[in-house]
Amino acid sequence: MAWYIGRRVLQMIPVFLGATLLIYAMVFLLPGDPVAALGGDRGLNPAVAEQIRAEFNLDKPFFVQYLLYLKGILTLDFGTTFSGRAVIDVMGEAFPVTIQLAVMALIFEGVLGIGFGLIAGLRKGGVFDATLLLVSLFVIAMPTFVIGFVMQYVVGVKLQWLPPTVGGDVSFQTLLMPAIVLGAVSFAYVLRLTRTSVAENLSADFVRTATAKGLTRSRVVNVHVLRNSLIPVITFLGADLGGLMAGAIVTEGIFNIPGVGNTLYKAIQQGQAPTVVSLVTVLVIVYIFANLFVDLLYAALDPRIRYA
Amino acid sequence: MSQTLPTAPVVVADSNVHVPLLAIRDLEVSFTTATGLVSAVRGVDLTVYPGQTVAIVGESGSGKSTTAHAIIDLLPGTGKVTAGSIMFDGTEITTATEKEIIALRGRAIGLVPQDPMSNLNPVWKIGYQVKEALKANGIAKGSAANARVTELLEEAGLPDAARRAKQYPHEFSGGMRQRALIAIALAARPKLLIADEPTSALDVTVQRQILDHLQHLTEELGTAVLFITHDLGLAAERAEHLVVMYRGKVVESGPAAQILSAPRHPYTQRLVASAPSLASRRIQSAKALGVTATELLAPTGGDGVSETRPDIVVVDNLTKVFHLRGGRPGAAKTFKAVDDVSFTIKRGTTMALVGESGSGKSTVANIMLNLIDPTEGKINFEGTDLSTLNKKQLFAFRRRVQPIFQDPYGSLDPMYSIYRTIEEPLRTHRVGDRKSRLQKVRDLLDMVSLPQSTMRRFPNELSGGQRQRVAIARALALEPDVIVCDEAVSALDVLVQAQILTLLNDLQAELGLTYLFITHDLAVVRQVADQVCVMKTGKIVESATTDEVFDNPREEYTRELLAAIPGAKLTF
Amino acid sequence: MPELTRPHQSHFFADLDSTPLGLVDLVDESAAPASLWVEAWHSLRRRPLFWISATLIALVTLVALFPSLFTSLDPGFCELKYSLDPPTAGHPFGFDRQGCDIYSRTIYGARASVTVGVLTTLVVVLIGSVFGAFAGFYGGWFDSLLSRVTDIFFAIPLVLAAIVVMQMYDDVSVMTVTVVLGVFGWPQIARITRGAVMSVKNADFITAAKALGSSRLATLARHVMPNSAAPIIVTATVSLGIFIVAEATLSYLGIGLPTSIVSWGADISKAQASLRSQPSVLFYPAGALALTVLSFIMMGDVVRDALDPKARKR
Repeated sequence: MAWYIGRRVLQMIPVFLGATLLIYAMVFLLPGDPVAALGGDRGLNPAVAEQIRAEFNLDKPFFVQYLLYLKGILTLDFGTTFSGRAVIDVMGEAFPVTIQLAVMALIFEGVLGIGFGLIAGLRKGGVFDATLLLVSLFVIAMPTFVIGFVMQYVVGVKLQWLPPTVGGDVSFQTLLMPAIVLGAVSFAYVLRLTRTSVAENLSADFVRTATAKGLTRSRVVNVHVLRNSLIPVITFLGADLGGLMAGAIVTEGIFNIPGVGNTLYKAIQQGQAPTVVSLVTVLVIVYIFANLFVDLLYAALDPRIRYA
Repeated sequence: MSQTLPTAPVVVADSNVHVPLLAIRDLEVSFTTATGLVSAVRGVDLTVYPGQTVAIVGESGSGKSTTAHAIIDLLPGTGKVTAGSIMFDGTEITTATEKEIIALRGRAIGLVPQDPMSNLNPVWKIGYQVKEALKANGIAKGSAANARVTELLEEAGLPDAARRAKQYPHEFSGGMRQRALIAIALAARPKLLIADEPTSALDVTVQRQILDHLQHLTEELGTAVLFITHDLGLAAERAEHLVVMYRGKVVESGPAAQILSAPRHPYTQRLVASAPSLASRRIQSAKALGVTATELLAPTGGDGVSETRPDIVVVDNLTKVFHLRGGRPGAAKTFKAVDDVSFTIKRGTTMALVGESGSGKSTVANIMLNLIDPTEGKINFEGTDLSTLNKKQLFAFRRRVQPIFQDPYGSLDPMYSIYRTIEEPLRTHRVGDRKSRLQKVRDLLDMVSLPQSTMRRFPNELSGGQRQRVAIARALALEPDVIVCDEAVSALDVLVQAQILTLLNDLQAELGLTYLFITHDLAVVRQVADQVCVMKTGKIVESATTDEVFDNPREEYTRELLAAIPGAKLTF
Repeated sequence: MPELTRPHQSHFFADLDSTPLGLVDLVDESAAPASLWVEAWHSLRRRPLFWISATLIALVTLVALFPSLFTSLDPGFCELKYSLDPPTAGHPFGFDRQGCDIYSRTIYGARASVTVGVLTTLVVVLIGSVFGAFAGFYGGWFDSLLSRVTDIFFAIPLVLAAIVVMQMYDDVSVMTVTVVLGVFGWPQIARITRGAVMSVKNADFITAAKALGSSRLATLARHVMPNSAAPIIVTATVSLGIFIVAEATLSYLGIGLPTSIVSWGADISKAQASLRSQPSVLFYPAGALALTVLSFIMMGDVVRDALDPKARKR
């Protein structure tokens, strides 16, 4: 197990370097001038432009720029926003909110997705299964922002069950609806994956052997079907964190939640390229670490992987 | 084993040997398919008395496993008992409630499944999976259960059981897994054990050890056994009563010796005539009576004239080393798959390379086909060293040596029609034009006794034996000198196997082919080979003519392999 | 020993009439020949979901190609005096805030979404399957390199990557969106192709082809790829829908297609402001988008079932 963790951490290093290099290259090697774009239609005062170039090291060769940027990441110095605040401080305020939202969304999609998926898989071909399958298809086909608008309008404005926006009041109640919206698409994927996996494992040889031992149906399902079926679902949840981040930008924008996604959303709207790059870099790093965690969880669930 | 086994008190004591433990009457099992209800088993009658061993013998699709699964209500998918009765020890299974069935499973009826690789849950430790059987049937709990788990695993013949119980299935070999499965099945001391082809996935010597052990255990415990197998020889050796099934029906049943010596139904007669284990045993018995082997065999290319034939293949000190990547730094190791192997094959004869899994026999085949390079040594093909061939010469060499593989489902491209499959070698080597190639494909299909209309079909529409015929036709298309048969008949049903062996023999006589026959099954070797090389862990341990190997095996390992052919105790 | 007292079981054999012996391995010459593709088609055409999604895809494609067949109105023609008016004759969906006809904008919006979806999928399948096939088939350093590269691309979620690049451009066109989504979308197909190729390449029929003297490239093209096609087709179909959603999300964030190009994403984004007074402003473009994506995802689903022999037999 120790070897597995060690190898997995080592593998993370090239991925981290590659991903940051890629992000940096995307911004600064592509045609188009990020600094000129800042001025919008009016154009930028050449002196101001020069100053910005110097501040963001844009006047230096590419690899020097990248190394300085990398140094910034490693020393947790992500630069400043245009309003003059350190990006790391802005993140410090916004991150707890986003983490709360993401955890709520993960619980929603994990618990309900696996639960419904299990029932559908056990009763494959039934009415309940068919209905869930159709609902999940609709949810996947619907962009997150459309689900957000509709929920906000119907549940928040028309029915007034839950507050339509969050603003400064971050609590379980205000975040409930955004979390459901954020987790909706993944919920559908988790449901479908669990269903397929459960149905497959139900006809596995070892499940038949377990039944032949004289175990009750519920024990067979809980001990032999469910745990094995969770292995692919856990892998999916890890990869899906990326989707959750992109979704957070949209969801936090719609419900006006003071999280990282909203900060990023505003930075995009205002065209603050360097801030966008810093924020995306942080999100990518979080994503890489989250995937490491998921891989370890995966190894805990599947003994075969530890020795692979 | 000298110790006496602890037995649960309820099991044998009150059994009345005159009352059937299991009585199946007029059983019909059907599956719902797109085209309606299809019956897989019809009108099956079967009786097992307490402590008795009964074997169901049949080919794939005969309904033998379906019958067995109906007994513990574990029919797969849409399967359902549609008529008849299954009476087990006073309980009518077909009408029993789920609760009653669960009470019977494990406690009264145990199951040893077929494939040890897929029948243990990969995510739980072996000990836990055995303990589950104890807990579910109320045998033991807590630390008492843990101690019992070790006892049960030891009893099933697993060495170092206490440590092994803490391991996961992937750390076990196939034989060890099957022992764990036996421990699970016998954990609650059932009255009836259903053994569904329990060793067909294992090496022959392991197979024999496990079956001996299982037989010993069940005799000691007084457990009745319903033994499911495709091998008539094995069934006759292990059971006192046989039930032969064919296409969902019982065609013949009765005492084992009687069925073997005087089969009445034509299907059973065919089966008795074709089963390789029986055929090989029959040759052995006949020879003991002074009859020459050739009278009992289809004519092989050998026939004693092989001494005068020229060598076509000379294998010289062949060694192949594989480098395995380890899971951790420094764990990379080398593995000698083939170790200093030498042999020669004379033109028009059959050389059999016999060994269990991991013996390196398939690696030799792949070097022979020039698909991998040897680490050391060389193969001379008609005097040319294969390692010296350039690209053009290699391409020409390919025409002269062709393979036939084991798995008839994997050896044909499912996207290719039979015509394209057989024509591909001709097209690749630019033989003839469209019209002549079409004629050639027709001729080849004739040669392997398939109707010409087969060529418009696809592999998924053919049975295993038919696919193997197509594979033979493809191999023959370029008119090769040597055919490498890598377990070419191992995956086939007994009767089909016999037909394919006859076909290979006929083709050899007709076309003067040379075969390198790779197999794990000595019984088959007896029917086809002129020369035999026995391989073990990369080395050739014995090399001689087939008669010599069977009559006077010099090596202990060869004797072990010979003893593992089912039916050793049978006489004719 | 107990068996000595066991009752006698007589020797039974069935009469030949009740179980006639067929010739061993007789070829059934009556049925029509059926390749795997033909079989897949037979199982497809029995599924109502297939016909529903096929009809929807055909309809959306027709609308995207010839929007003028479905409306005579110009989607760019808007009059503020109609702002947020309810449906009237000739304007079945009503008007948006700018007073544009929602029906004609919904019709004309199809082109951008479908073009982005189809082109991106083409790019992704082309790059992904070629890289994946070579990596899976040849292995070695190229495979290691490709695996590392896909790992890196996987570490950057598609929409985040697109955000970083897209925010730099002022004049975004359909081509820009396609290139950006394509460049970041190919690793998934590459991974799937690699897996499929690796599971096929060890099959005996591949060894047989090598033993015949087929070159490696010919074996890859003639045997390996056709047998790896099924998962690629399924993933591509589903991805097409996902790319349409991604494009709409970018437009919603204001960094996708500009308002000068009629697109569902941009219209949905604009509708947010008018949602409370006139929900149909959101409903029609969002519904059209969801239905389009749904039809592709459903198609992927039924095709997967049809191509998977395991699922078909059950």
